[in-house]
Amino acid sequence: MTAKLLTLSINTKAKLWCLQFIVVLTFLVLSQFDSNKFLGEPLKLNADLTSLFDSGINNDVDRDKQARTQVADKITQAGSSQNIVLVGALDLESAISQADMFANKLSKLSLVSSVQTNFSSMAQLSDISNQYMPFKQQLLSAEMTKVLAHGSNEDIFSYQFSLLNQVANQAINLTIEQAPELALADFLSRSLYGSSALTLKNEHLVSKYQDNHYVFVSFSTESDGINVDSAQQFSADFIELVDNEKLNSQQRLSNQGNAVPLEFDYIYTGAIFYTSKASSTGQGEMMLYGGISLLATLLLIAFVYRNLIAIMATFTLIAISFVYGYLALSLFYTEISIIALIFSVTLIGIAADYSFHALTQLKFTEFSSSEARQPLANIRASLLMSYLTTGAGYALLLLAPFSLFKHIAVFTLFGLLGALATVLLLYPVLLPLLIQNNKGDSSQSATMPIFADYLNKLQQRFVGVIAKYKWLAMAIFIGAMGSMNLVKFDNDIRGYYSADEQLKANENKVKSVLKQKWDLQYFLVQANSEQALLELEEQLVVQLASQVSTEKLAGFSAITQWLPSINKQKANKKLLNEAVQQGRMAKLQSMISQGDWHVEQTFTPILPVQWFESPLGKMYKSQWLFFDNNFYSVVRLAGVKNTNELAAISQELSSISDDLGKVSLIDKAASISAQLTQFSRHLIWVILAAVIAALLVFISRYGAQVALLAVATPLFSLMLALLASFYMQTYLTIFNLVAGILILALGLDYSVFYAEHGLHKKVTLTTVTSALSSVFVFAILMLSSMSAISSFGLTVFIGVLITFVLAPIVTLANGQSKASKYSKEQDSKHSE
Amino acid sequence: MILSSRSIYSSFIWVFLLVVSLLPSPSMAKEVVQALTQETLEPTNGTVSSANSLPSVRVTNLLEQLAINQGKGQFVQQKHFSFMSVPITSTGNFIVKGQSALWQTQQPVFSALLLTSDAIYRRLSLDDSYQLLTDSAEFSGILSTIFTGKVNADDWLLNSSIDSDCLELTPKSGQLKQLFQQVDLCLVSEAKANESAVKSSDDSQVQFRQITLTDSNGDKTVITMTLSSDIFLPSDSKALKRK
Repeated sequence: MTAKLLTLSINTKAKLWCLQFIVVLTFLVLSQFDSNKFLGEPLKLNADLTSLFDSGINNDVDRDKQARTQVADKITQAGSSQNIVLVGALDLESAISQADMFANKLSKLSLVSSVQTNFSSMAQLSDISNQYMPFKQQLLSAEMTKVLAHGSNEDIFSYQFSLLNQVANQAINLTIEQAPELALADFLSRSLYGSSALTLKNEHLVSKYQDNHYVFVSFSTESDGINVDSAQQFSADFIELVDNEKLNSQQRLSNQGNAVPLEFDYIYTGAIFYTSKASSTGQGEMMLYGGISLLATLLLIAFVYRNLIAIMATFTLIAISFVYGYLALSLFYTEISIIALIFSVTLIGIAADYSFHALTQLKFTEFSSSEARQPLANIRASLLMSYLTTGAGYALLLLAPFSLFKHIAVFTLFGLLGALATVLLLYPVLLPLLIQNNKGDSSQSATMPIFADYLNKLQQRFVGVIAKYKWLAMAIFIGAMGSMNLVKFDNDIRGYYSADEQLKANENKVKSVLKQKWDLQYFLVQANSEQALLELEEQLVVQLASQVSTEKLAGFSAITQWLPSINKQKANKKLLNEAVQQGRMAKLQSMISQGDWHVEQTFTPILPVQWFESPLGKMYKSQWLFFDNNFYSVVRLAGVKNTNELAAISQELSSISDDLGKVSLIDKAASISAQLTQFSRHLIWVILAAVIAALLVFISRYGAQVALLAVATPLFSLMLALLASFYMQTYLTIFNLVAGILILALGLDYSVFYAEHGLHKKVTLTTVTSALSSVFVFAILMLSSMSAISSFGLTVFIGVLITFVLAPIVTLANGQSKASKYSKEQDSKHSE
Repeated sequence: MILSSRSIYSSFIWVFLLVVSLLPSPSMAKEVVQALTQETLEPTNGTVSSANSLPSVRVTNLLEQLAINQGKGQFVQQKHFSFMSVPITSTGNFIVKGQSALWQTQQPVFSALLLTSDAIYRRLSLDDSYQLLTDSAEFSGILSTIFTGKVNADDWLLNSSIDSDCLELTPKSGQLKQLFQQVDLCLVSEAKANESAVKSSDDSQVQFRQITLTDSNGDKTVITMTLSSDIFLPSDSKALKRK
């Protein structure tokens, strides 16, 4: 059946192809746009990196983890829509009025959902002390607790007097009469991280920094910082607003006759600005490099084939292969990661390779009238072999536990199948359009470019040298294999992209002005009741305080710093009242004898539900969540130096307090990086397995000797490319490995053709065209400002060049290094 | 009848002078009323009074005299609470140099406050290391004003009565207003300083000053400082370091 199919006429094959392609297109349209969903849901693209590694296992343990992940996602989304602007000026009142004007105009921008400059409703100490006064004997700071529990009477008095003696301590003034033990004053006087730089002036939060007064403006956007299009639009509008305000304010002040013009400083930071900058840089580079790649590839194809049809055919083939790949994904999956599509660009290189093999065969071969009926007969086996070796490698990805691998495998396998089918069934139709002298006589082939001849001679010389020094070559190969142990991987996602210098400077300045910057890492505490949550968080706070005292952490913010659990409140009350009743505060009592020293016997706790309605509680509401029958609290961190220690704390607490709940350190960047590292390890095994699979396919067709050389050359190219990249970058990433897959696939393809046809000029022409097109399309990416992309381009560049140079070595094994069997046949035909 | 007409006449003069004194431009009457009443005119609506938009020569002179760039001495502090009949009294010594200051209480118990440019630290014994008390810019500013006499005009309205060596600071806005009604920085005579039982160990170049802080509840803290010497020892500089 297959043999019959292969011998069908060109027109029949073309019709067959058209028919199947119509079916493919129909299926594709139905899968994406059919309201009846006959072929299932339309394929969704997911940009969430954390879903890359979802293995789909569903059990109780994972549901718990999934809930925590969902809560963490909500927190991240809420955080990414919050942004800060600081409006600074030498004169305070000018800064305030300018900030108000700016905020008014900012609120009119399309994506802004709220702007706040007036913070008069912020909790004042007098309100807070009134709120806590009914519970005055239940609130103790950690220091006070320590002194009462372990200190002598003298220590207690010393501590209390130092507090009493403080000048300008408002907490003392507000509470001393009603709470003369000074426990409440001490509780309210604590220095909490992140609250010191801003002061309330004229209902605005202001910080003095380097002679300027900076007014705090907070605003939130409707969409989070991940939406690329809206981020770019907003960022452009924002910057225009800032520039206009600077200009207008200068004009206004000069009109008012100010002798010294006042300069306003605008500093801003937020996720949306980073997203905008990254995407505009990415889009700019995509257009620039994409344009250069396209132009260069067009010129290359035009130069080699000198035919517009060749250009159209190649680009159409690539598009067709994408259609097949996308259809396969739509049929088998409902959602894929956008990263899968990005990694699957390797399909472009291989599909283009098929096209070049076919075009070279059609353009530069002299066909007799019988041969012209099956113009691709000579390369049919090669193309099939190429597909089998590449397919075997990609098929192994289907066995990986990661959905991303499976997506890449399905897309590439079916995409290449579509490319192969198109080349074998449709390309023969192009024969009359490709040959130069179309006089109905296809016997006259076009002349190959001179450089192909020149390159072929160079290759022959090179192969001769390798033959002469084969032991040295083997030693270098073994040396390269050994050197692979030195290679180190670093998949820290933060290194994949270098943030814009201006934005980084802004962020650092905001941090300096506010003397506070919460890190991206935080603790998420989970429990099934409010009190269990508070008790677990109290245990965490003890550990974090220790980290702060040893300067491993700059600070943290936790709800239990202001809302102790009921058990803690009881313990505090007992400790304080015992100290009073036992006369341990006698000295202070004699000093403040007129205060209210009455020991309250009844106990009424502060509860979360009432506390969150208080002025102070409202400020902490965002750190308290209820989701899926569990309570969650967020403990923010600042100045994290060692996440391993913090991770150890969360594990220790989770294991010893299993009945209470769970403590998790949320570090999204680190968890993605860890998963990418795991992904890299699997990918290395997949590459090795693909090499073995290709080896087996080669052995079945060409025997062991050819198979070993055919597989060794692309493998050697891959190793050299990775080693060279490691030397230049000092570490490798997963993007280097993905580049390795492309190098391996192209290398195996070249090996197949050299093995089938020997060191013939046509094979040289095809492989050099393929190598150059891969350089234009991929290697140009090494100019990108994004380190992840540039490292991919670098590895492709080095690998493709090396694999092109080394591929002819396989001809040593089948004795076709000087002239191919095929070219001998052609030569003998000419002589006839 | 004569008495009543005289009282009416005096009242009329007082009212007349008071009304005239409230006119925007400074006038002779204003100075007369100030001299008679010895009271500061309160600016309306929290705006800077004309006397403060351009500090007077008097205020400027006082600011210069009150500022301590480098010095050391003793202090007595008395905190008066309205519900208590006896003030809370403490004594100790201080060292000031530039932006840094050490405020060390010796009686009744030891404690030390170290003020630096970015934070305030505390320790309760000489054997302990300094612990961060607060890095609040506002609190640092207040203590800096008290310890070093350097006043931040952004935060305070400044005024001074005629023939007075006192600078009256009224908080302009925000959290300072919640803390204080007024702060008075005064250069005082030795006699007045002696009332507070502050004695200087070295009579050369001795300066006495008194700081009165009136908080929003009306409670007062009175600090009497004796600046004893301008000579700085290496040990004094060392004492201003955390470690």
